[in-house]
Amino acid sequence: MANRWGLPDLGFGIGLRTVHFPHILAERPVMDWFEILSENFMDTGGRPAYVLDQVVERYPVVMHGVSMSVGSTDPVNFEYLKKLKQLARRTKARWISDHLCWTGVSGLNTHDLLPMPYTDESLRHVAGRVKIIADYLERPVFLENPSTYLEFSESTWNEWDFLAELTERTGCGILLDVNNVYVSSFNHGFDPFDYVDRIPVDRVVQIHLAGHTNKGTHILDTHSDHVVDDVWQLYRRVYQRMGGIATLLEWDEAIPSFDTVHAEALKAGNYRTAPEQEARDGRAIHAA
Amino acid sequence: MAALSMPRSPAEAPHLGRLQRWMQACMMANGPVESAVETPAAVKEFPASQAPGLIRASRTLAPLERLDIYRGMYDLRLVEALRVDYPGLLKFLGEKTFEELARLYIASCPPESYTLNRLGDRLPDFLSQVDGIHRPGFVEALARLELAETFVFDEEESPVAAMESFGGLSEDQWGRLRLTPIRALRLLRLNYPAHEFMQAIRRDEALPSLRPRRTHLIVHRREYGLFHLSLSAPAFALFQALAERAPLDEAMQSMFDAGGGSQKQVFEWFRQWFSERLFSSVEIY
Repeated sequence: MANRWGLPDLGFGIGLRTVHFPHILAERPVMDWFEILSENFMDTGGRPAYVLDQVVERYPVVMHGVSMSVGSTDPVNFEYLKKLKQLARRTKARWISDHLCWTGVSGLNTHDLLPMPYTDESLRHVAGRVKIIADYLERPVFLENPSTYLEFSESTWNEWDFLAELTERTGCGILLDVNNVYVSSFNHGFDPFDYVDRIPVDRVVQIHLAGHTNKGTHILDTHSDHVVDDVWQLYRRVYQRMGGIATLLEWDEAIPSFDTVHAEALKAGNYRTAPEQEARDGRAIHAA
Repeated sequence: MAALSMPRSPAEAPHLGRLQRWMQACMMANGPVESAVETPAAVKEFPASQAPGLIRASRTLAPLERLDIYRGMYDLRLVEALRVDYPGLLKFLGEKTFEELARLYIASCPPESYTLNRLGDRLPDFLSQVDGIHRPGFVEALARLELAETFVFDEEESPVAAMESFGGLSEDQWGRLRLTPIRALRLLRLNYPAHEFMQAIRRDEALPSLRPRRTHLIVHRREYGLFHLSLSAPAFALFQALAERAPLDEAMQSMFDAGGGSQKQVFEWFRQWFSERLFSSVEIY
């Protein structure tokens, strides 16, 4: 099913990372697309910018940021947005995404994707900011569901309904991080299939996949390993509901070779075609 | 009627703001999480007794244990960012001391920018506030060099001027030359040859002596690689004056004031500086 913006299924991409620069420049690998971390390229005119220009010439590029801070109660940072907009022009970015979170307040930045309390107050607040930001950027904003490690007691919405309502109120879209759904479901004890089943399909423009680290008491979204099978099963479910959506594999710690990361991304193709396993077998994921 | 405009900020969210300030204060506080919720910045928003009630327990973790996950990640992420920007300091101080220093710095100068690239900008100045650092003079010189390298790494590319671009000038025109350095360049006066230490660790060579020595340095980028160029005091004075937009005759006066130099030496220096691609434009004033 197509998203409401008519944005294409770009295929299987990976995040553009420094350790892969030499390989990409030398080998020019066959690759569907790249996602860049916006902040890594906003303030540099050095080698990262040079490599980015080479990549933009050959591959479709999507921008993904971590500092939009749509949930913060600080004023909207228009200086940041200005640079984001300039970078989008330079990269001919197909779209720009960030996270449903806040990163700092009182003029500080924690450089983490911090959880929102899912309340009516938060919904009004985030909706207001999303509209302002989309208006400034002159394009829709796409927000990713973050991995979270705590829930606020005062939350009256669950995350998926909050996100769905936000899209209704603002016209924003969703970058659905399937690994994050899984991580948060483990940490908070909900059914990840309920989450992906409730997300409005026509709002999703991109999927994220990644590995994580299970600490026993909780899971950390470390992007440090292969995608686990439970996450692949969730991805299969998403594909069955939503059809082909641009899918991106993130790997940010202990990053292996380009070929290994690319091969992990291409595995997603297997879950677009393989028959469904036992219905809702993901229900057993967190039954304990 | 006033002109219409889009709102620059959404409606206030007072309770959300309190919760965010509280969580951030807890994340940025040193010490165990139980004392973090008792810091003045946290208590200003919520009494410590209410802290556990703000967060739901999970089936495995108590509320404050869940908060502590974010505290741990904040610390790890920022220390790691400083390790990336200051590999020389890390090598010299060792893991343990570097991390202690990094944590003191982060507590004193918490990040304000949307980019981690500029997290360490205030570290060289901060060092003067820290007691107990081994070889503080050298450490400060090393930190200033590494900070300069981060700026040079990220600067925009510039066009490069060739020495031939001012061939055949009259003596009068020579005096009125103005040379603009490339953007990816910084000038440093240091009390130690910290660049020799950096070069040794990058080449995995034996570490040089750490004796103080007045050092005049150009840190620059060429073909996306970082380079150090050590200059004599007069040559440095000449380059610095040129970088500050002085015409050549005035810049040469600065050179003489610094205790040396001659027209022949200036010509030799120019040959080197142009071959190193340090200038982006040449004009006659």
